[in-house]
Amino acid sequence: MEKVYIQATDYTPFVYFDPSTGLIELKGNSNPANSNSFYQKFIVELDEYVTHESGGLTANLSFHYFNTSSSKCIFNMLKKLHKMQEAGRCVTINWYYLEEDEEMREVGEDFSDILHMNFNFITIAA
Amino acid sequence: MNDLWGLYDEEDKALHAFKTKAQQNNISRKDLAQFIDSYQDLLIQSKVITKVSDKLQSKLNKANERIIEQNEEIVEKNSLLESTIGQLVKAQVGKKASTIIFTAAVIMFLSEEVFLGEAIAVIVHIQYLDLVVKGCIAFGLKFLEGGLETFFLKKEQIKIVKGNNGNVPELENKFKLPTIKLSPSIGKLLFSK
Repeated sequence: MEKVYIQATDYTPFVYFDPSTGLIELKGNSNPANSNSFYQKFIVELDEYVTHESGGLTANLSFHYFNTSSSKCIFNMLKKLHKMQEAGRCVTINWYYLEEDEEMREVGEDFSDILHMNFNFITIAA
Repeated sequence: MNDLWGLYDEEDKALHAFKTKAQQNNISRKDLAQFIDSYQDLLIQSKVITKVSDKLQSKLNKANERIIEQNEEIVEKNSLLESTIGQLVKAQVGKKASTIIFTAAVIMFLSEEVFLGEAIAVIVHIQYLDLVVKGCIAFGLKFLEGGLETFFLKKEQIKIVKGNNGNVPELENKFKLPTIKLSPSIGKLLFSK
């Protein structure tokens, strides 16, 4: 299993996944032309981790904006984390959002409600 | 388009598998239950993705409205700034022209008093000619002042247009345009295209 490190651009988020520590970080705008191929490496590594490792995971998610296809990728990722949680593994999801960005908080709540997962909602000062 | 299919790869596979079994009339209760689960899962996904997209669209709309408002404010302040700069340039140029004319006036009146006035008194012997000459000098200087103001004004305008480091652009720098305060990401998202 490899570490995944993708630097952020104006249209794509910072992506970090360290299988040795079980840490996921996604930050910024997610508006890639092709969300599927952008998240592919990360999803493949995550799948490997979910299948072959027994440890837990902490996901720090801090988005400013993401497009529709990215929301599908994020949903898929959260579903994998949900399955891990159902299997008894420790999963922590920290959902960061700007203080005035109520929409982004609500988006996190929607994901949390639909997947029946507990998110930690953390505000970031603007 | 193919990339979008990739995004729904699992759903595609489930549908294809069920279709194949249906064509072969080989559907068990278990297959049906699995297909219902897949359909339900897809429906949940559609709901959440639609909801999330609508919220993010509303966020973009708000950002857009803020940009339009701030743009209007910038246009208004820009026009105010232009008129203020115009007035400042005029005042500056007027002061410069007045200083030159005042110096010229002092020199000319002293010269007239010392040299020309004496000559008129000795050679021409015409009463009040001295005063007439002084009046002509005064009117001439006033006329010259207008000409000088126009000349300096044009010079300053050329400076502004060329963006030289003269006094006027410096003045312009004092009046900073308002900054749009958006979250960095929204700013990038909307402006970087």
